[in-house]
This record gives sequence, structure tokens and C-alpha cells, in this order.
Amino acid sequence: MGRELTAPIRIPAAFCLFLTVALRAGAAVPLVALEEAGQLAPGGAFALSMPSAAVRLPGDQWAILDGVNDRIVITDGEGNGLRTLGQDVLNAPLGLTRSSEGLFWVADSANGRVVALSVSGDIEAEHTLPRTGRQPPEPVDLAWLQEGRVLAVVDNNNHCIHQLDVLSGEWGATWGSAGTQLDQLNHPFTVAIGPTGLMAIVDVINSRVLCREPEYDFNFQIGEWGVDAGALYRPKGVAFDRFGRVWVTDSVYGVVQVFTDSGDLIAVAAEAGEVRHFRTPTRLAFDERGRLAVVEMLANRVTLWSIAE
Amino acid sequence: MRWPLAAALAVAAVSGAPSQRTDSRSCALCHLSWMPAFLDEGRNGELMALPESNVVNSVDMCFSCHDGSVVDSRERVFLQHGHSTGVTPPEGMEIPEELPLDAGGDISCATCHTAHGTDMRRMDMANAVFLRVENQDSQMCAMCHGETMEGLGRRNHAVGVDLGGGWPEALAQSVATQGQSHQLVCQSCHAAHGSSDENLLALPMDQSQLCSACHTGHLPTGDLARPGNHPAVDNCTTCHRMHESESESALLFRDNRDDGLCLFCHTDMQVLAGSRHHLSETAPDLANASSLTPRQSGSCSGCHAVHHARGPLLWAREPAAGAAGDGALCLSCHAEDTGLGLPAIGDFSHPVGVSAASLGDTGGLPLFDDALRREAAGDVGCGTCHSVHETRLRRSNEGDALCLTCHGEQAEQLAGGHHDLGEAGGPCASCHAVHQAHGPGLAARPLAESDAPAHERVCRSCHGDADWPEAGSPDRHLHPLHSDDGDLRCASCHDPHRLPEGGPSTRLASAGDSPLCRDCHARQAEVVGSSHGRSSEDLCGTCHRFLDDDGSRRLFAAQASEDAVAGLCQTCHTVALHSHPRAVAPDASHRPDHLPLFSARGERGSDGVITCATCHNPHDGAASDFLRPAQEGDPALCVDCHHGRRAVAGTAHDLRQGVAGASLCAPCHRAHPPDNTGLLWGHDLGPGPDFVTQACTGCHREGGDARPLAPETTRHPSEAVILESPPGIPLYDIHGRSGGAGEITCATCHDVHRWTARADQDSGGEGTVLTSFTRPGVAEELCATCHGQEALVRYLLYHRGQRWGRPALVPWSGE
Repeated sequence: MGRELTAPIRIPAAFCLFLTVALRAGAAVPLVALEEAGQLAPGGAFALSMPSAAVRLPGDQWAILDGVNDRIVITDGEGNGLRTLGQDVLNAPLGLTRSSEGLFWVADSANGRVVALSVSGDIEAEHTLPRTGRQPPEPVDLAWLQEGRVLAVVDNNNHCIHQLDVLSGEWGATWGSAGTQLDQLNHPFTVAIGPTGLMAIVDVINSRVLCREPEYDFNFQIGEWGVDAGALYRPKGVAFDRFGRVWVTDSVYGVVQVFTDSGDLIAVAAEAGEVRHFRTPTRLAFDERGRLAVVEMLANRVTLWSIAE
Repeated sequence: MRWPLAAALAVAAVSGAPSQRTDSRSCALCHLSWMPAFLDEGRNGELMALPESNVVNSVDMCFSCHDGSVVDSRERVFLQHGHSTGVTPPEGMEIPEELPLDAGGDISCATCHTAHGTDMRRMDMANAVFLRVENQDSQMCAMCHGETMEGLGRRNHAVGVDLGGGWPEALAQSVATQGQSHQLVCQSCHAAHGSSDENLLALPMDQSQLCSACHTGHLPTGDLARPGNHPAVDNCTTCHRMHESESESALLFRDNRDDGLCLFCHTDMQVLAGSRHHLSETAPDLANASSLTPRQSGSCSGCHAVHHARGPLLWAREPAAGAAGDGALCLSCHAEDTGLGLPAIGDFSHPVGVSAASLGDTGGLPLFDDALRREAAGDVGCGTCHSVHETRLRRSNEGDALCLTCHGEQAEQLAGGHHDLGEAGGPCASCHAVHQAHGPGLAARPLAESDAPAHERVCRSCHGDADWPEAGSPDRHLHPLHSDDGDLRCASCHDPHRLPEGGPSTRLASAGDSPLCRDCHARQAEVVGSSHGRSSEDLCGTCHRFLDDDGSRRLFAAQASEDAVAGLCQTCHTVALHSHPRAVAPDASHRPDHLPLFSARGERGSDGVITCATCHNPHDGAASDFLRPAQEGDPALCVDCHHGRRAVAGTAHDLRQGVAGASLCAPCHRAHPPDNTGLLWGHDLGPGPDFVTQACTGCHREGGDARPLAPETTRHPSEAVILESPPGIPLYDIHGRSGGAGEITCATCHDVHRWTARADQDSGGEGTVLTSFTRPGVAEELCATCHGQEALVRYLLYHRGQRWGRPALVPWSGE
């Protein structure tokens, strides 16, 4: 586990400030304390059905990818539904990000494409994934490699990552293939790009987060198969906080763990001194105040957490 | 990516990782309890406690891959309805060992599925569903649900039926599948996962969409507007059971041979028992249009078909063509031509499909709308009087009580009256037969032998019949009646129900100001207040006759005459001898454009003659002298016949002098001149030897209105009398009558009604002696026509007399 070769250390010295250490049952599990700050579970016509992603919007609003309902639900900061968009064009979408110009970029999974929706729900761009393997492409997540210009798109079916130049509409390099090696993936699900350009890919069946340093063409993994702190079983979501720390969810264990960007465990998310078990936690997101949003798919909600720094 | 649950298991196949690692780790991808910390060390993990069960049967474990991270089954498996899990199989259901229940004896995902499923051997991961037993032909379903797999013989919906390639499109678009040999299987209707229906149906059933995917002729909608099928109270399952039905026939939930199914809901139809319409007893082999008999399908099926019905009320027989309302249904049996020998209603029967609004209260008898549903403002139907399920009248007709429910008002009017015969125990049946009547009006008596229209023959069956000498005969009536297709008949004036003894015989009074007549003849009512309408005792009867008292068939109250109209007029009016001719047919050049001609009996007709009413409308009290108005654009009534006289308008002989409404002809002519004059002359006469000359000199003389144009000589020399005139040159006798023989006078050369166009060309509109109002050709050849080569000599003698020592007859105006 961790880097196998020397690499620049990007963890800020302040990260240890939020770390607390709790002793439980004779084992020392480092915990990071969370305090619930609210939840996004709109009702009525905006009720969620197995949501998979959430994105913070300006004006204290959230965009939640309500995949089974084939739509994006916009809520206020209290979780009240404001409007929906995309329900006429999306089909079982799984991944969502936003560009600085305000477009919603969606991994429209069952349609095998990436689409950009305006705030009114109109399709502003549409890019069908290239077929690179035996299986039809299935985009499940996407993140900005270069803000507003290049997207990294996860192709779950073909165990790879595509690059999309959204300005030219051309697909660039494809990285990854099926397997367990450090340049291989087995059903990648989510992707996040750190502040230094580090790409973190949740490699579900390999039970790890595969990190790739594009600049050095160097890969390493976070987490390994196991049942103890720092291990992963069904990793699902990954996100970088403002300090570059890597937050990872595990849907079977129901936990959120924090790692350095070199792969070392920092802590397990906890509430009231106990490891916090979420209901099928999937993707993660942070707002501008540093609060953590956890998408709990089978609970049909997004929970917001303040992190004790 | 659709069903790669085994993707995790396939790690070894795609990774090339060491086999030992693959064996242990790959299994533990699902078998969480096999993680080394749990299996080998038997301890809790820091992130998860030691699992209690060793079996992979957790929904959450399945969802950990089927949440989209490996395959997206969120909607189909985890949101929509799926085969029950977490429940104990029902009592009596035997679960084979190959399909294990969980530790608690409940059904779980693993009961049907295993990552080591058989289909992995022949299917790729994308299509494998990891079933423990192959199920394409429902083999696995039958292992538990065998009772429902044995087809109609066990009162279940058929399976194994070859669809013949006819897989319905609606099912093709759903999660349903057909068997390997294109036969019906469990999955043709049910889906273990991905159904929106709690019974795991492939299509919804709120409108029976699943059933109607195959049974296309059966589309129950709960709306009678879609005829042919029983309205589904809920859906097809209201009557049908797809599994374990009570009846082998059509999978009915109750056997219907004794009408048990129908009567289960239609409890009020229990009254059918014992009635003649209880067909399973009275006509058990009377097949309906679908060849089903009451013996096979119950009494109801004799008349009603829950599917493939032929008409409203789910009618099971072919409705009678052309019949209205529910009559079309009843007549499918109760008509002569059905061959069933049942009571028939005949050609004349109580009307159905007609509004009962004029009857007011129907006393609770039902009326029906177009769909034959009961509607208070609906129409009369057979069911208004008949309770067809009880085969009886809705109420007794003793003393015509049923009839009087609606027709009570007529009975009250009839009571004690001329037509209150009381022959049949009630007021109605003496004259009316509700069915099998002899003619219009539900005539109960045979119609009189006559060429008259049927409605008149109904009346004649008593009136005029030798057996009823006291009844008035229609033959005495002079007012014409229309044919059967028309509206005017005896009952137009006479209300047969309102004939009180000694009272008026007509609906309205004919005497007085004649409201009976005026009800139709509204225009003639304008006579009121005029000199023709001053009688307060008998407005119309003063001039008209209605009954032929003397056998003369005269329409008018005057002595018989060759000209009935004039005869009537002359009853009061004395007309001068030399009035406008009458009682003559106009020749072709005088056929009126609009004015009427009349027969000798006074009936209008184009082949009639001119009579008083040709010009006069005796009922138009507002018109001057009762004259008919001139047609728009015509200067006088006269020109409607005297077409050529229109030409005088605008000439010097148009003497109206711009007076609005003045007659073009009246300055010179009168239709009824006071004196014995020719040409119906109505102006002053002047000097002259004959009437025409006198008429002209009435104006064209010294002191006359046309003095400046007075000719010095007005007449051809008498010694030059011509006995025979050429064509177009009229001669006149001294009384002004024209003809081929006579004398030359003014009108011989002049047409006083037509200005000569040449006059405008030659003299600026003033004309000369040769052009002013002269007939065509006068200027060129008139003299030569008669005088031939002597014409010039005679002309000089006539007009240049000075040269011969005598005065010229016509002043010479130049060389």
C-alpha cells in the first residue's frame, strides 16, 4: 500500500490538526470527527430515487443526480427541491460535474454518452464515447483534467479512462485496461482530480483507489483488500478536499476514510467517537466551506457534515 | 453492461493474478464472511463486525455491484417489483433442494441465483443471469409453481402454446419473453425482476394492457363507448382468473352455465328466473351470434355477449337493421323475418327512439339515451313499457293504465267526447293497438279501402264507412291534404282526443277571427283590418268554404262560375265592362313573370287564366287597392305581363315626371276605366275620327299637354284606306282595336311605348316626323310598302300640296 517510489509530498502540514485518535476495544483507529450539518432529501415531486452524485452550486444550492428518475434535482441548502432538469434526455445517469461556465456535464450511462446541459435543461453538447473494447462503452463518471477544456471520463464496461476535449469534441488518449496491475482497472466507477493534478480512480472490483500521476506517468494505489482501517472492500466514491487529502467511501462497510495523497491512511470518519456507518455511501463532494457531502444511495439522500479541523 | 454480476468472479480471467490470490479473494468478493480476518482469524474487523451468516444472501451485497459500479440494476431489480425475498414459501409449496432457502427458511436472491450458475457455461457475462437452473422454458418456475403450469386442463392460463411467431409488439417492448420454441411460458406474462406490477406482470393491468396484448379483440375499458366488450370493473381479472379458476370455460372465476358469474354482480337480474327470457329453460339451444347457446353459457348469453358483442348492452345477436333505440335489439328476435316464431311487433308499433319530452312526466317509466343507458331526458324504448328480464309489462295495462301513465292528458281530453268509445275496457284500445297495428297512429281498426294516404285511411276506417253513417266523411272536406310524406293531415286541424260532444271539432276555432286558419296561413292574416277583413263573425269563412255542402266542390263562398276567383270578387265588386281582360290565358308574349294565374276553381297554376287575383292580393290589406307589388326594378305591375312596355320608361311618354312611386302606365291606362273606352284608356281624349287618334290628340293638340308637338295633320287621307297591312304595320278600327285590317292611324307608324334610337342620332334626341316614336323602317320604306313606285308622287302630293294648288298635309320643312 502506498507509494512504491519516491514522489513529491503534497500533504499540508496542517492536515494533522483535524486528526484525533480514539482507542476502541484495544485497537487504535484514527478517527476524524464529523458533525451532521444537514441533509438533502427533497420530498414530493423532487423525491430522490437512488441518487449517485451531488455537486455544489453557487447561491447555496445543490445539484443531485437522481439517476433512476433520469434527472438532476436542484435543491436549496436545506434540501428543498427547487426544480429538475434533464428528465427527458437522460437515461440512468451516474456521474455529474459542473463547469465554471455553469453547464452540467453528465455521464449519461445507459445512453453511452456525455452530455452538457444548460441550467434550463437544454443539451448544449453531446459526445458519444468511443468503443474501445468488446463491451459497449458505459460512462459512469467524469471530472475535469483541465477546467472547462478536458474531461476524464470513466468507461466502466471497458475498464478505462477516456479524455475528452470538450472544445473540439475530440476524444483523446485512453488509459487503462482490464486487470489488477497498477496500470489496469476492474470496473472503475468514480474519478477525482486533485489540486496537483493527481487523478484518483475508484477501482471497484480491485478494491482500491488507483492514483495516477500523469506528469510522471506514475501510478500507485490507495487502500487494499481487507476489513481493518485503511482497507477497502467496495470503494465507490473519491474526492479531494481543499488540502489535497483523499476521501474514499466504501458501500459495503458503509464508511468514509481519509488518506494522504500518497496513500497513507489518515483517519476513518466518525460521529460521536464511533465510526460512522453510512447507508451505501457512494460519491462525495465538498462545498466552499469545506463541508463534506455524502451521497447515500439506498437512503435516497445526501448528508452534509462539518469536519472537525 | 447488463448482467455482469460475475465480473467480480472473473477477476482471475482478466487479471492474470496469482491463482492462490484469485481463489481466496475472488470468492470473498461476494462471500464476505470468507475474508481471512473473518474466516481464518474469526475476529471482527475495524470497519466491519464478523458476519453472522456464512451465506451470500444479502441484498446489500448484491447491490454493492448492481448499484451501477459494475452493473446498473437499480431500477429493474432494486426499485421495481421483483420476486418475493425475505418471505417463507406458502404452505403446501414444495421447494426443491436445488433452490435453497436462506438460514431462516425464507426465499432470498440466492434461492434462484448463484454466481456459479449454469448459464455461465453458454452465455457471456453480459447476458448471464446466474440462475441455478435453466429457465428459458420456465423449467425453474415450474419447480415451485408446478400447479400453475399445467394449462387449461387444470384451470390455468395456457402455457406451452405455440405463438406461431406472433409475438405481440407490446410484449416485445416489455420485459416479457417467449420460450425457446416461441411458445408461451411463465415469463411471457411475468418478470421476476423489472415489473411495475406487484404480481410481477410484464405489462400493467389497470387497463388490462397485458391481457389485451394477445387478446386484441378484448379491450375492456370501463367505457360503453368502446362497444363489444363488458366494461371492466377493475380489469379482466374481475371475471377471469389466470390461475386456479373455478371454471374451465374461459378461466372464469365462477361457472356461468347457471348464470352464476353474471348474477354475482347483477343481482337484480335474479328476476330472470321463471320468465320467458330465462332462455336456459325456454330456449336452451338458441345460439347467439357467436354460436354459444344458453345451455353452454347460461341464459344471459342468449342476449348478451361479454366479448365480441354486436351492439349496445353487449348484444349477442345481430341487431335489426333500421330499427331505433333498443328496438334494434328486441327485433333481433321479435320480428317476422327471424324465423323464430316469436311474437312480432309488426309494421306499425309504438314508436321507440323518440323523445318523450312532450309527454312530461312518464310516471317512473324509464327512458334511455343513445347508449341505452337510463336517462331521465332520454327516449322511449321497448324497455320503457317492458321489463324484459321479467318478461312482463312494467305495470298492468288493465283499463289502459300503462298507456295512461304517459298519455293521461289525452285520456282526460277524450273522456266523454266523440271518440270516447270505451269498447275495449279503456279509452285507448278502441282506436290504438300498441303492436301489430293496422296503420299510422297505431290504428287498431283495419284501414279503409281507398287510394287516399294511409293517415287519411285511418280516419276513413270510421268516417265515411257504411257502418258508421253518422260519422262525417273526409270527402266533405275541401281543404287539401298532403300525401303520407307531407305534414298536413286530418289531425292537423282535428285533435281526435279532443272532440267533446257538441263542442268544436277542430283544434282551434275556424270562425270568428279564424285562429285555426291563421295558424298556418299567417300571411293571409294581413287581411285583418282591411276592407276584406272586417267580419268579426267569420273572418275566413266570409269568402272561403271548408265543407262541401252542395257537392259543387267550390272553395269559395260564391255561386259557381267559370272563373271562381272573379265570381267571388264580383259578389261584392262591380267591374266595368271594358276592364282588363280576365278569364283568358295569356299568349306566349304575355306570360307573367311572377303574377299568378288561376284555374277555374281558383287554384293557382301556371296553366291558369288571368283573373282578379292575378293583379290583386285580396289578403294584403296594406297594399293600395290590394294590388300585388311590382317586382323590384320594374316600373309598374303591368310590365310583369306586358314585357315590351317597359321601353316607355324614360321616354317623353313616361309621364311620371319623377314622382316617387308613381305608376308608369297609369297616366294613360286604367285597368278598370270608368268609361267604355278602348285601350283601357285613362286620360283625356282629343279630336279625331278614331279612338287611337283621339287618344293621341288628348295631349297632342292645341291646349293639350303636348301642344308644341301637335301635328297639323294627324291622319292619313281617308281615301287612302288600306284594308290589309304588311307585317309589323298595325291597322286599327275606329274603337282602337288593332289587327291586320283597318285604317292607318297614329299608332300605325308610331310605337308610343318605344323611342326610336335613330332619332337620337339624327336630331339630337328631339326627333322628326320620320323618327319620333316611329316603328322600325318607317322612315325608309313605310310609304313604299303600300304605295310602291307611286310613293314619291304621293309623298309630294301629301306633304307638298302647295305645288299642286292645295295645302300640304304636312308642313314642308325644306328641300
